[in-house]
Amino acid sequence: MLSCKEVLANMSCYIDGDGSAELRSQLEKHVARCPRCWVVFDTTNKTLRIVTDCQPFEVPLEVSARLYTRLQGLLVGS
Amino acid sequence: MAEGEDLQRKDTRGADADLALVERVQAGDRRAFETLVRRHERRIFRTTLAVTGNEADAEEAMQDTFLKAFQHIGEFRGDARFSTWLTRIAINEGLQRTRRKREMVSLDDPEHPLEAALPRRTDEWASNPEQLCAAGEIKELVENAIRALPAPYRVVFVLRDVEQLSTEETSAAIGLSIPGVKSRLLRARLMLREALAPKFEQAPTLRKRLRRAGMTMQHMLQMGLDHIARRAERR
Repeated sequence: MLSCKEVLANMSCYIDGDGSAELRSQLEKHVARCPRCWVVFDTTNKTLRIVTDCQPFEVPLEVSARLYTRLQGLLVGS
Repeated sequence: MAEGEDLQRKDTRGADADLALVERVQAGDRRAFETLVRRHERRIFRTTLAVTGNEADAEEAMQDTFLKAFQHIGEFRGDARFSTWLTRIAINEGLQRTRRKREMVSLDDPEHPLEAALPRRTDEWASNPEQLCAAGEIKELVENAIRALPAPYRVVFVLRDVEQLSTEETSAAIGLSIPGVKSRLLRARLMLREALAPKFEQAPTLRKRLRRAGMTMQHMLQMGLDHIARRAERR
């Protein structure tokens, strides 16, 4: 069975859907039996879901407006 | 898997649309450039913000990125995707700005060993942590946690997990090897998880704590037995 450190080193790979079927199966077996690794996998997945859902760092409206003002000369200069 | 394929198809359509717009700009249609700006404004702002770490520099770097892209669009030959080409310009513009201010952000920092990012907080989170606080509060928490990541990790995280670039595109945009991207992404995800944990952890009930202790002991015993069996096989 993989050690907890090996499981952690391959966690991103698993989350991103990479890795061989053999490796994925070994990771799943370990995580099903190890409460600590289960929590790390579960909470890392939740972290990524939270990040995706909250759409961080939108361009502020005034920043966007200043961008188009600066580009205006170049765009209408055609 | 089906969702992954959908994303990939959407991504390919996006790249094709970009290429058609680039060709129009190269043929003299400047309005097509405005469409390109609208399509990529958010990604470029997030990229320059990830590199510089502050909004004022990110804004200037974003403006300069689009100006430079317009000036050099004739040199774009489609060897890489337009989005990757533009992201690379944005990263350079961001880096130049930090150098000018002598803040010297480097994306080549030596790798933190995995030990430095090992999980310390291992209590379970609520099943729907998003429902524990208001959307605005979560967004602020996430943005602060991403800002607090060291720049080399922040840039990889933003490109991969916020902008959803592939590992290969991120590698090409930053000029970092694929194993380097993967290694930084893992550490960034672990650091971010650790930063969000205090907000979303739930104190375990006594029953849960006992069940977990039992499972942990069983798991460690199994690992020990596996180890002994492997050593015996080797003899």
